[in-house]
Amino acid sequence: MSGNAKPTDLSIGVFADDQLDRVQHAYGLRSLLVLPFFALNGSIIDLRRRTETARKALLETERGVLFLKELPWYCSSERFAHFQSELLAGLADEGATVVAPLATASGRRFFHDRLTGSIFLLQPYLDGRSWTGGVEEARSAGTALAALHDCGSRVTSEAFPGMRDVFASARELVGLLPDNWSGPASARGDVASLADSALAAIDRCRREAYAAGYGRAVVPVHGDYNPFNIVFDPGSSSVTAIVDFDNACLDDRAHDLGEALVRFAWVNYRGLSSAYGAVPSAFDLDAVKAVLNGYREYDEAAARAARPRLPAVMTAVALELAAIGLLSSYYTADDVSALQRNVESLLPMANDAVAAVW
Amino acid sequence: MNRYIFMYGTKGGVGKSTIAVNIAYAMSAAGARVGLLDLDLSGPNVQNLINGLAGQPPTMAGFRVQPGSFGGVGVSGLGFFVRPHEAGLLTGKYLEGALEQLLFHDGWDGYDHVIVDLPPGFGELHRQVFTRLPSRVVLITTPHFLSTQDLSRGRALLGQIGVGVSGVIENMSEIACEHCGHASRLFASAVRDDFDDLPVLAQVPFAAGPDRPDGRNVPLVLTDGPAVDGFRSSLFSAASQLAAGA
Repeated sequence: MSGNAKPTDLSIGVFADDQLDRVQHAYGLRSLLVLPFFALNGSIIDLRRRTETARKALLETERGVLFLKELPWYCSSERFAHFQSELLAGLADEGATVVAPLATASGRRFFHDRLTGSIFLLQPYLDGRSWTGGVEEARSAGTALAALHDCGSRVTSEAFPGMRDVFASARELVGLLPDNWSGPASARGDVASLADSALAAIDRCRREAYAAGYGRAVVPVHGDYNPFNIVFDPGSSSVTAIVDFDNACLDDRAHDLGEALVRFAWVNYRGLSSAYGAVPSAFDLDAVKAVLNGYREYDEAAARAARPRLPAVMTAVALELAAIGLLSSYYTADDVSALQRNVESLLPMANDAVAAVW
Repeated sequence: MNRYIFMYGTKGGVGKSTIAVNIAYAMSAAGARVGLLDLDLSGPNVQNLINGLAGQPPTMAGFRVQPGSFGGVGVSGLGFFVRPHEAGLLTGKYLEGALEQLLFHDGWDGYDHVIVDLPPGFGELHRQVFTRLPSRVVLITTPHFLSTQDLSRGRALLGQIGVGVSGVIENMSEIACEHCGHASRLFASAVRDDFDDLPVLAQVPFAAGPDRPDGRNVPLVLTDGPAVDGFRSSLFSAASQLAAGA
């Protein structure tokens, strides 16, 4: 996840007409109609509502309906766009469940609008449904992740950056807490204390993970593998596509697998939205088992190799998400004490959760 | 006869949505197949005026919003699928796309009449719908001079793009005392020289309607009682004229 705070969106979630004109020209599209509304899980959704991190639009064109996405502030660079687009194209070639970005008229798989600095990816729109919280979906997500890593291991490109471990991301997010806490000033001290102890815990996890072989082998990882970045088949629990590679990097595969365990089996969500609900206090062992079994079904050896590093990764990711929860006001000052308790108890709980099912 | 009937008033708060909803249900009660589209994209209200009726919300097919059905009228509009507290900007190409998804498609072909509730003012939305869709336009105003004055401006713009007007509905013409029935004016009568050439389709009295503590509303033309008699009869009359091609 990003280590930078989100800037104010002065565009209110929409692309300006002249920007869309340049996109149309860059991709050589004869026709372009913005579709503000689409259907998801049987409901009509206004896509502008779903632009929390970056502007997106559905475009009806002579090439069918396309999904236009602006790279968000935290990864908006030509270097990252080159990496992400090469990775997606390579993954698609290898058969991974991803959607390759389309090429511009000049052959690049992204468009850098130099007038505004925005960088865009344009992909065919893929119909599907979102996560409903089912165990079978968690299992499918595990399998799809293993396949993603397997395909990714065969993709190479000069555009790929160096390794960036999960602990660095967690540190950045937690490090934002003291200066960006927008809740009551009276809780500022407790939040700073929480950040200090979380950072110390992340460092302990990092040492433990590296002692267990973290980073000896790296693959392209998704970097934000959560239920809301997975498109499911409307008629089954299978995964149709993995989307949103804005946090992709090279890292140990335990990064994604540990994050999947936290996102499917630790975080409480508000209904089926990506907003966090109550501060979690225990892992959902059925979900842990489902994700792990799904991954193991596809690649038992890789799962076995990653297993010793999972509890440390799970702890770091859970602490990172706690920081996001506070920064996003999903959690309040009243939650700080529960989050503080989790700092100490997370690692043993993660160890126990993995051990209980495998 | 054009299927689409736009309910238009330049001033906000004159009762366009109320008139549109009640015209639609009056036409439906008379046996026509009627569609009702709320095109007030920043302040949709139609869904609130019919939420006491049983029905199905709009659906999506082929990226086009298909009308739902409430009380036998085909209905559509942002308010049926955007939550009340959510606001969004629909300008430029987004507005063009929204109109394609909501209005400019064959989902309305099965209706004898499609009543379209337009937002106040005169902007890009009005220009697009008036110039792209053959339609009839009904002007909605109150007797208040601020409303008629603004409506004159809107009518002038309609004239510039060659859009004809079917007539005027004067809303809130008077209010009847709920105790003695005596009718009183709500506003001083305005000079309506700018509209003297148009038929007055109805002068609609203000009707509060029954108290609804549950917040569920039905169109007043589907209710009865002395408090709404004048309202009902005036709108059934207007609906009848419009159905006949006014």
